[in-house]
Amino acid sequence: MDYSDKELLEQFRNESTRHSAFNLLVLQYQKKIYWHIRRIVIDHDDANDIVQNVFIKVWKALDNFKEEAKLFTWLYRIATNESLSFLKQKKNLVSFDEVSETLSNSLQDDRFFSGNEIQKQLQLAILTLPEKQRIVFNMKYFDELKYEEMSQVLETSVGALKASYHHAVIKIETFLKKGNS
Amino acid sequence: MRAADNIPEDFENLEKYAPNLVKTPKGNGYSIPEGYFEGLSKEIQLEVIASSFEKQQPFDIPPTYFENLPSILQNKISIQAKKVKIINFKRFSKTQLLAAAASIAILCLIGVDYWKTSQDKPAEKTMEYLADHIDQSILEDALAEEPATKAAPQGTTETSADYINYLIDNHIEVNTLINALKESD
Repeated sequence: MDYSDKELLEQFRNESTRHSAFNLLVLQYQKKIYWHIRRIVIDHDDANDIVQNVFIKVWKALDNFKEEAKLFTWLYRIATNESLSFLKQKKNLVSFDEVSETLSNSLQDDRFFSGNEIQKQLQLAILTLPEKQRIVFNMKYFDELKYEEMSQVLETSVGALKASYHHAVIKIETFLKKGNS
Repeated sequence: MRAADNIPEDFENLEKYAPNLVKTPKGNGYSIPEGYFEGLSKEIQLEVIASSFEKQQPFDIPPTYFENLPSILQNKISIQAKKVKIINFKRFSKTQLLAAAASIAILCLIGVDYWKTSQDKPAEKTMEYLADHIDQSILEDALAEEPATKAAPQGTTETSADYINYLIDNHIEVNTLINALKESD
């Protein structure tokens, strides 16, 4: 059973039900947040660390949540920023090419990927996209978010998001076509 | 020109623009450990509880402790510096240093020779020791208690070393012993 933002926030703001409300919030959103992060960072262990960091930040900041956006949009934004920070940190230690190669290699490793060959090709195609474009594609194609929601998460205009998604689709299609031919 | 101006109206018609993408199953393909999500909320709750522990120091310190600490340390360092006398050998001439080294070497040689010679004449060394350490009153008491003609117990052999050891152990003055022995002859 999913709880509304209002219900969750009311329970959270009550000292006696704070922890149970937070637990409900985690249970309600953990899978969506996890998979959003996982598609960005690929590795499960990295995704696990980030998802926990995200929810700890949520715990600390939820009291000050202004309800100008949906709770889920806010969670998504924190998760996106944390994932991008993680990748940025990785790039500071190694080059961008090495990060991309590492992410691609993770897909080749059976421990992290159990999909069929076609799914693997799709994921490899997605990894060829620039970071922001990859996130836009994932959010639209896999999470099926509306452009308005994506705009709040990524703080980018709807028009720019539509263009980004279209270009991502074309690149992926080209990659898959080459793989099939 | 805005970014959206270049894209077709029906760009979301994937069957038209991305038929290969449409054929691909939409499932993730990524693996996760078994039972991962069942345990995740518990792990997060534990992390939340741990993060809420207040990181306060439970100990008190005097109010101006850190302000005074640098000067306290400086004072201690100064006191230590005064106690330590550093001998600057550079202020001595080469001749003076050679003379000092030669004196030390000679003293060492004398000490070694003395030690060697004292090893060769243990009896004389013992007598010297006895002369320095024997108490006359103990000797007199010992002579009074022991009859001059007391026979040695059967089966034992008393050597002069045994007597000397006895005298040493009881701090008997050797000169008095010698005189007593002379008188008993």
